[in-house]
Amino acid sequence: MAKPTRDAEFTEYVASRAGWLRKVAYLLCGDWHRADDLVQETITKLYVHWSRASRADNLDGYARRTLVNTFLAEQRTSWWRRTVRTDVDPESAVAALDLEASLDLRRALAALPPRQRATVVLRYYCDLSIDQAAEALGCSSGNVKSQSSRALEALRNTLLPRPSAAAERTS
Amino acid sequence: MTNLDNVELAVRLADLAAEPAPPPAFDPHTAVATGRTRLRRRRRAVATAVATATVAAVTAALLLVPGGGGSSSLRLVPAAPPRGEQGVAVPKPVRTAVGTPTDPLVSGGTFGWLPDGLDPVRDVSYEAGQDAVVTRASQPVSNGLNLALIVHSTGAEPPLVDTAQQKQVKVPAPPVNGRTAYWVTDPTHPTFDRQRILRWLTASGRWAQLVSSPPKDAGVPDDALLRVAAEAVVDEQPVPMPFWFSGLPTGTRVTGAAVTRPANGQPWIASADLWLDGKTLGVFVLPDDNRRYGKTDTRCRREQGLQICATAESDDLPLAPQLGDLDAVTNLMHVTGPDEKTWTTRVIR
Repeated sequence: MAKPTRDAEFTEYVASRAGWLRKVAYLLCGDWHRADDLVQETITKLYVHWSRASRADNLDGYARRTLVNTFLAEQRTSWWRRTVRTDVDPESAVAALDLEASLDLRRALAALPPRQRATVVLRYYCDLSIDQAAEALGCSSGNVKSQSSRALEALRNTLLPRPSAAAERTS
Repeated sequence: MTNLDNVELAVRLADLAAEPAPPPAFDPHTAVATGRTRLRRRRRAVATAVATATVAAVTAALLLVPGGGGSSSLRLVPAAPPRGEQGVAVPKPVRTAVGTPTDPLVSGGTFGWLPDGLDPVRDVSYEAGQDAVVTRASQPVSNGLNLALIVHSTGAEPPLVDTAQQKQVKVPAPPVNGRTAYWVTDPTHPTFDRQRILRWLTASGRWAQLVSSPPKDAGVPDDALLRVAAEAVVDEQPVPMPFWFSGLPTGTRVTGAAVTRPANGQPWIASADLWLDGKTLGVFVLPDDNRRYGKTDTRCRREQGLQICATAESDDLPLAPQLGDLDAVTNLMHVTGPDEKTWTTRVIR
């Protein structure tokens, strides 16, 4: 069988992992359109570095790290994309939390600083260990611990608990 | 109130990620095409650096060879930019300016006709970044119809994905203005089921692509997409902006620009990224209606019913003193007024 070309390997990988990357991107940014922009940029970077990425021990980890870095970098540049294409203005999202004591996790995440949001997504959605999250974020394990702690504290203060099954039965 | 445990958070995150989503708008073809452009640009930069170093080395050698350099003093003269430790000129990572020397926002094309529900003025945005220029028509509602017009670089026809997981195919489409056109479909890939991609060759020899991302419960008929393509004007056109700069410090580059209409139905916002010495500041202008945008640090002033703002993340704030400060940056900006008829394409003066 002929050796797959670089482009074929790349597109095959993207086709198989795009859905997963898109979900992680959505949790990071809270908006599907912006998530698509993040994925587009991430897979473009992945293509540029494909010769290195494809040899990585953990290609998914490489892609995830690229996505998170792209998300965090976007906080410093291209700010107009993230502000004008989201349905919820970041500042009004904070106000909405105050007004509604919202149950909406999306809004609660949006109110977190970007690195805390990334930490939450990596630790609790991607199920990474502290060390793995630290590698993905390019920071120390201690930093991940402190970011996690602050993020969870903020979420606890803004999220109401889901009614448990028992509570639903008795209500 | 406080029994959000880690497991519950994980469950909620999984639920949130599984919520109904619009059709994906990213495109592996664009990633490949853009990635190739970046690789070419990088190779050119390296080649330029190597050529510069070679010229410097040859110059030095000639000057060191007795009688070789036309000078009897055998002095080395500075013939190259500052070099790295290995004697090779180190290309500094830079961001390139977008657009023309006077207008950073140059569209690759404009819409001539749009389906019902899309207003050709109210709903059309222009975005110019480092890698692409996109003209986008979006319904001013959450997850509404979105049409993106992307014009590719001269020559290369965007490739089709052909892998075990995804097999894009060309489906013949009626010619667009008498030139080759086809649909890009992927019957085997469930996530691309509603997105419709039309490619056609334009008179300039560049391939254009119309990506339609309709809402979940509605599509756009192919006839309508073909009409959008046929009436699109694929040509580089400076896009007027409501502000202009004067007195930008030497070396400042405008590395991104946009005139956008937010999906939440808010009025327009015009913006640009200013790059200098590896750091970026954002500037933006919008109708003065008390909306607040921007990064961590934002300074605004008001004039002619508009907010004029400069904004930066803390990492980039060291750039501000080079420009005065964020307030001073807003004073480098002048507005034409909120009436779009007064906007200008002479943005950099």
